[in-house]
Amino acid sequence: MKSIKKKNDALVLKIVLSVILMAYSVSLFIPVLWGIMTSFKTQSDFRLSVFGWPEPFTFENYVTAVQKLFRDVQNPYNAAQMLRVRFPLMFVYSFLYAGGCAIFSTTTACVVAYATVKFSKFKLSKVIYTIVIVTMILPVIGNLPSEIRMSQILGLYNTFWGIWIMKMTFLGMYFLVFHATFRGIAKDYYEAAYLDGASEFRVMVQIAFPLVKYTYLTVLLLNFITFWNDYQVPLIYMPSYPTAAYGVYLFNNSNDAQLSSVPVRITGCIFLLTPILILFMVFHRRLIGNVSMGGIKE
Amino acid sequence: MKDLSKKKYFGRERKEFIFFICLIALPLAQFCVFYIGVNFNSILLTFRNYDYDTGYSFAGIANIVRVVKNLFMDATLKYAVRNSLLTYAVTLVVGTTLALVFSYFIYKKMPLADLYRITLFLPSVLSSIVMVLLFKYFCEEAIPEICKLLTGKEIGGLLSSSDTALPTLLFYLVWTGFGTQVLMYTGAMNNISESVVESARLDGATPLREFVFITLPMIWPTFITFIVVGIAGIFTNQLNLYSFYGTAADNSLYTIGYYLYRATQQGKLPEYSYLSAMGLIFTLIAMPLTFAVKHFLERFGPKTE
Amino acid sequence: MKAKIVTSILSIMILFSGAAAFSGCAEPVQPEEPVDSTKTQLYIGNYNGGVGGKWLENAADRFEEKYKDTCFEPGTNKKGVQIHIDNNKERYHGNNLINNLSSITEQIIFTERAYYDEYVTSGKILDMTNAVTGDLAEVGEAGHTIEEKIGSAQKEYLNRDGKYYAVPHYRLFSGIQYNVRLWEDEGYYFAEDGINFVSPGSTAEEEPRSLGPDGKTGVIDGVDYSLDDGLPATYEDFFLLCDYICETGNVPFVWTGQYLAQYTGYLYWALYADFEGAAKFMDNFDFSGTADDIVDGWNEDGTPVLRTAEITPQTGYELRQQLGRYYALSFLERLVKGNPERRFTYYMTDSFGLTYSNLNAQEDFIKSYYEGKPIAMIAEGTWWENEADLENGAFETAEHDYGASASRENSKFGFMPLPKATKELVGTPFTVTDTYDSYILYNSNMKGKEDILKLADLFVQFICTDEEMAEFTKTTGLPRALEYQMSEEDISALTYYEQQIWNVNINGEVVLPYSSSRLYRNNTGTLCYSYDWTTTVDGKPYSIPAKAFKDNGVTALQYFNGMKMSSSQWDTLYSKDF
Repeated sequence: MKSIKKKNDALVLKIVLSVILMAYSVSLFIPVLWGIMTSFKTQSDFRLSVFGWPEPFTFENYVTAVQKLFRDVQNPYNAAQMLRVRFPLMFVYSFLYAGGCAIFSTTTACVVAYATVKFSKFKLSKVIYTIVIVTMILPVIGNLPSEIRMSQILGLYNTFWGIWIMKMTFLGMYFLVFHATFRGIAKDYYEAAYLDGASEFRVMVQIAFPLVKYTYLTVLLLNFITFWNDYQVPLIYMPSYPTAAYGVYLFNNSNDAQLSSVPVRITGCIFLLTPILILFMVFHRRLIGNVSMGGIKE
Repeated sequence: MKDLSKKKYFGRERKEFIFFICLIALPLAQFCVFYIGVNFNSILLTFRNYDYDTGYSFAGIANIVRVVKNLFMDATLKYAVRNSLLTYAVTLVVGTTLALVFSYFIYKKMPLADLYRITLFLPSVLSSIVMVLLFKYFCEEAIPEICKLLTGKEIGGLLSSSDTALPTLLFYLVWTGFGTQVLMYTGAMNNISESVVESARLDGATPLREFVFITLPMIWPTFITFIVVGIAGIFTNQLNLYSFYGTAADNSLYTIGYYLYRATQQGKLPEYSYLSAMGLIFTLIAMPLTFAVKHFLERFGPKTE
Repeated sequence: MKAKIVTSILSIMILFSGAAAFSGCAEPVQPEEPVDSTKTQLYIGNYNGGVGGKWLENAADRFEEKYKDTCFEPGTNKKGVQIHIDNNKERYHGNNLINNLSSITEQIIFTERAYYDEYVTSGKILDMTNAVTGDLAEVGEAGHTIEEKIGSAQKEYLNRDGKYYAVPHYRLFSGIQYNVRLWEDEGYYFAEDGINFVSPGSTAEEEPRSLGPDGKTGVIDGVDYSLDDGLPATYEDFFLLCDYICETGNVPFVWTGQYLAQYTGYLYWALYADFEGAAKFMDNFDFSGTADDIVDGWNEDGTPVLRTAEITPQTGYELRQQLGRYYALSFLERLVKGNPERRFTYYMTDSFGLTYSNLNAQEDFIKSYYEGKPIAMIAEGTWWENEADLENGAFETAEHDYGASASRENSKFGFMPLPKATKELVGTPFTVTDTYDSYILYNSNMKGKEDILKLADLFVQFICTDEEMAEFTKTTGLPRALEYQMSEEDISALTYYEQQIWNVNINGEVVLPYSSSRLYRNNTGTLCYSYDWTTTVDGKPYSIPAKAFKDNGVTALQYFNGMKMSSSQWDTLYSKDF
């Protein structure tokens, strides 16, 4: 009797949750589908009916986006020359920017977190942890000009490796994620290796890092997506290397009325979204699906 | 004999210390240049004033006093504090709870779990430009139209009407905020040893009991991390106000994060001292809170044993 | 696994780079004119927002032609000058410009919303004193300087220890724009008696119109006072007109909902300035003067109890209770609340929608005339016609949809002199404000290049001659921010709308809120627009009056009373700069 009731409870819970999640998914897909539909509309059609089926159905926005999505920038090696960066090249810049920054920032956070957990006996470890928390809380006012000046003085301005170095920071929430993950690893794992005479470096690379590889990859993916969608930093620090997000951002600020129409803007957004969505679809099973098989089992 | 082991111990410690320094030297140097070096003047601004004609002058704690005084006089600031706290409460109570429940649902591989994992993460994949644009059109154009169709009543857009703006913004924050949490929680849940779960099941534990007594304690460190991140962000969270309204949000919607960001955007160097002081004051409030909560959760949270 | 994914990402990156290399990387843009090494090169950056870049291209052509035989780099055999213009909307505007100025190759910059003090102290711009104070003989105006064309308050502001670091560029005003053809078709003009309206389709000759807010008509001392004839003279008249527009089935007003705070904000400032007049309105910026209309309370009959206050930096808070603010708010309240008795709404419904942009509003304003339910007025700035006329803009699509009569040239819009708050004020001059901080600047990359600097000086002097400034106005329809005259012939070449703007620029009072006051200069972020309209009603803060009236049922009086600031709060905020 009791067990039937229990089963019923579980079933009710399951149904309630399913309904909530289904509603959530629908609420998310409807705007996205609406967006895709809108990308096939003309501006005059959109102006008169925001929700109707595209009438006429047009690919013009995609043509416009491909044609107009370019940016003339100063050649970084020859200031007098202007270069035209088109959309495919913007994608390359996006990959270089997002990929490089993601790898540098994730690795830095991971290594520093490992160091502070493994060697928590050193005072500096606690100091670093506190620094991370404090910098998360403290809003710094008006530091942009000095940040730009610093990158210019150090010769990092308007280069890829410059921006990678600037992103080589352990500050932020993912440090805490790595910190928590490393703390979850029992000391026994390391001790065995030490008894075998392994060096600190070997312990770190061969024992500790493989244990957190799925966390690392997840954070890498999250960072990659964040950088992929970021247009502000490239806008400020890499004026000669416009990324795709920056290109799409320009749609919103363009002087050209044709580009500032909503259907074209949404089309631009779809351009930006497609590669990352494919990347996520391809990797999500491996990443998240496999966390269950990896990780640290006791 | 005793001396020898001590020597050996110190030898190891020194090695460890050198290794430790090697690991953190570069990131720390980067931090010194790109955080301290870059922000030093900005943080110092709290204690200095700037004037276009005479340059910097020492101000002591005058700016801090100004902020504290004004906190009691300015209705906008009072609302901003209120909204910041409200935002945190909602994301904690609604957002985190749902994220945990959803993660458990996915972890237990309930029907369509795979699909939900993707949809929950979708808002994080879509850039904020896209999400904001889609959501804005939906709230401003679709919902009034749907409402008119269903009830025959004409209403304004959800984001542009004063009554509905704040709930809509809070909804948006929760609605788009599951991605990272669910990803991390499911990851942590999947790390739970099968044998523990199995033995609980044999004992006849309900899913709820399993969640409370096994799952939750096992993911506790991840949970603490998100709570700490949330508290640390109370006074920097902008509630997406800038994305939706630019610098022109109604000031009954302000959060402290938005207040500071907006004022920085509009103001100039001589005004930054006041804003810096405000940032510092809220840091001084949030910092002990953050550490206290962290300490509390670590100390009194469920134990895995 | 980890290696696999990292390799995948890396290989994708490499693949993409390879693809890029294959496709030839970024292709060099062929400059419209390749560099002619027999000429001296001058690089100019121009913010091409609503004002565009055509005027500059024309001026540069004339300059190149005029000095084609002059050698600007002695010691070389270069002759003449080649000017390269980079028109860009983000690069030369606001924070982007000041942040990136030192990495920009352009030498002369034309910009808007540049905060002078910030530029001067940044060290990123050069002193322009030679251009400003030098005699204009070389450009054909011997005996004159740019300095004498700069208004006195602005001169005081720009002059730093005898040096000038900028030259004022153009002026923009905000207010109410109206569709003249609709006025003519529907007879929206007040008849001579100032009570009734004229018959639809009638001309001023057939049915004389009222005198309008200036209280005069005809040409007196060379000033044409007839441009505002028949327009509402008082707030009362204005809302009578709105009722009439509703009666005829049309929509009185539209504004952008996306930038609601800004665009309705410009309107209150315009009303406030027009009520106070230039001298009193300037107290808000220079914090010195006497304000004789500080509201101290209200009589039973609803009239205000006024007192006089000496305005100093210490008493600046008094201005938050200046009568003009109340009237501006009351105007807006009526505009938003409409006429409930007759169920008239005065604005188009989208005007509060967050997705309704300024371009959408312009489009509806222009096209509605052909779509059955015309909109009579729009809250906009004087740049709007230019903005709607850019590529693929509202004028172009309107012409496409509704034929040639919808083009900019064939349309007829007007810049409405604001109605006066009370009958007694009819006849006081129309006061407008320019708050767009538009300047010409020298990039510090010219430092030490004496020859180029001399050329830059010459170019700046050239475009500040009366002749060139008239050309600017003819191309853009907007006034330059310097004092100059236009010939009657030049004026007649302007569109009806542009003539009205020019008329206001010359005959109205133009407030240039440039103040040397330390308090103002160090606190522009809060003392300028936004903060100034914050209020507290029943403990709740508001910053957008239009919204407070519409959504929260707040009245203008409540809003105004809530704006009062205590001297202790004022001290707390600003005493460091007294």
